[in-house]
Amino acid sequence: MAQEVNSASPIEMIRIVDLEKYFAKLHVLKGITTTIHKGQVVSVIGPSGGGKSTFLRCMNRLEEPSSGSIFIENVDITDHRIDINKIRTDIGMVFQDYNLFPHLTAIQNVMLAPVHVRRVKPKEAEEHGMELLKRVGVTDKAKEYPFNLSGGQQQRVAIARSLAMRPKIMFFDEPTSALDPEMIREVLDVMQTLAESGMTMVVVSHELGFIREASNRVMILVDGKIIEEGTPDEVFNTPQNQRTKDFLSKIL
Amino acid sequence: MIDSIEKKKGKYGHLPWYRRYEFLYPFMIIYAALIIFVMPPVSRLNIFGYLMLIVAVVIYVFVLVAVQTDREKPNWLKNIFAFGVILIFGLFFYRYSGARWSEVGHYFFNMDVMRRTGFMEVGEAATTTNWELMFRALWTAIEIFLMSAVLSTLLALLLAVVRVIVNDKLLNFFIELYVDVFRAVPSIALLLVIYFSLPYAGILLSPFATGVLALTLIEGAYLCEVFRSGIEAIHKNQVESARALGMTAWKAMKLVVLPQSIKIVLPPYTNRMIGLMKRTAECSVIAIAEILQTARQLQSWYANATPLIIGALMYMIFLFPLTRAATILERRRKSA
Repeated sequence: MAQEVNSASPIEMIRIVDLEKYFAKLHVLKGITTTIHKGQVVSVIGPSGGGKSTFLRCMNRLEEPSSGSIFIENVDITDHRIDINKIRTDIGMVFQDYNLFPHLTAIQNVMLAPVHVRRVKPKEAEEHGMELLKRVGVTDKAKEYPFNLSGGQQQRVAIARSLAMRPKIMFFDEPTSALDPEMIREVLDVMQTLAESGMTMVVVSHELGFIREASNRVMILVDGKIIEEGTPDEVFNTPQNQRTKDFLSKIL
Repeated sequence: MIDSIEKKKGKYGHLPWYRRYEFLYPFMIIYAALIIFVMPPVSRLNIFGYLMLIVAVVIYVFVLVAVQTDREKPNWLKNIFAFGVILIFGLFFYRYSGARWSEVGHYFFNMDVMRRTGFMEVGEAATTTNWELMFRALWTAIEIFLMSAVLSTLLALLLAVVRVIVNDKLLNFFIELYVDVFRAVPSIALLLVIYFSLPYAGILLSPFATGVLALTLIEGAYLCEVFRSGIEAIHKNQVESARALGMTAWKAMKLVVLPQSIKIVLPPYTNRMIGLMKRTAECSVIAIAEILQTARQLQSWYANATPLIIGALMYMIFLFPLTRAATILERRRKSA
């Protein structure tokens, strides 16, 4: 089971106030307000086109929010005076298509950002990188190029690459959607261990098994709004909202 | 019914048309070869002679096509026929072009001319051989080439990167304007404008500087497009994941995009560099003593084409590794 958050004094990690996002005239996010605490593993589910990815990408400003504010550790990242690159070093992000750098080996992929952004000494970065690759179980492929890795291995290296920056928050944008079925498990296992280690995570995923086991909060995002949230048990077993029921009946 | 068709087809009925008359090929080839070897040179041919020649060529081409398109013919036979075509056209040129072949050595490969000294020099100082002049010219050409290659590469890289990263509308407009203008100007015209017209506006540049400047401006415009297409060929996901790791746009460009673009850009880049080296020849219009200029002066001074031939060979020898590299890179890119 996922680690229970100490509800007595939850530390606020992300606070989102009235987040809206337009793509030209398309209204994608229609006012999202929520708070994510330290150590929480939040799963975001919902029908496609509901704004899940956009929601995630707004939180590290890969997409510029149209209005509203996002506080990460009480710093408003929508304020253009802050250095977003500095904020992003604390936020790991794992993409659907892995997006490893094809011209670098696995270990070089993991080392690149710590060495060039955090200014860690290459030797230290390599040690830490190997440690992380061991954690995700691809030590033997450290010197291989992404081209020679399977999808599951690539995604695990991508997770290690994000962890190498020692982030406080991890975002996962459909990390298993591009994977062959037999490789999904290995990636989810890595994510589960990560969740158990107390990392704050926001996961966009359709892996219900993983959501039930690893996450302690589920958000249903439909049409740019959070229509329901709660623990997995609450949301899956006793959904309140009619649209949640409709959606769940399609995927369960 | 079937019998009658079989009879009509005769002995070779089961063969395709081009193989039915295969037994004639040797005779046809011998006939063609006889004509080509026995006919007197063209100036002494009458209309009948021309016709015989044409017939011979047609026969040969016919046999060649028949052999080359036949899958069951062995490769060595095809090779012999292909080689035969080259040989026959060579012989044609040799026998019927009306050239004075005995003079070729004297006018085109006269090493005596190259060994002479004293071209445009006076008195006892006249010790520079024409060989030396040509090699000095080669070095000048290489200097212009290297200078403008480095400068245009830097300029183009800067413009391409600025265009993608800064992505400012006004700036992009000016970069596009520069690229469009200088891709549309012939380099020879630009050379003349800079060298002969700018002095009226008070800007005086040495011939060498003019050559480097003009070639750099034009090459920079082309390379800017080459680099931009290379940068844009890298998927934006790559940039996004680099940015998500906290890299600035410049760092993402330097560490993630450009290293990947190199593979894409290298073949067209090498081709542009080959073109640039050849375009240094255009600097001869502003009196830089580069290969073409020197060779032309020597040629008119001695009334002998050897310097021009040597000049051409110099370009070839200098560019051969580059053209090979371009071919290999192109091939490697296709296989990857």
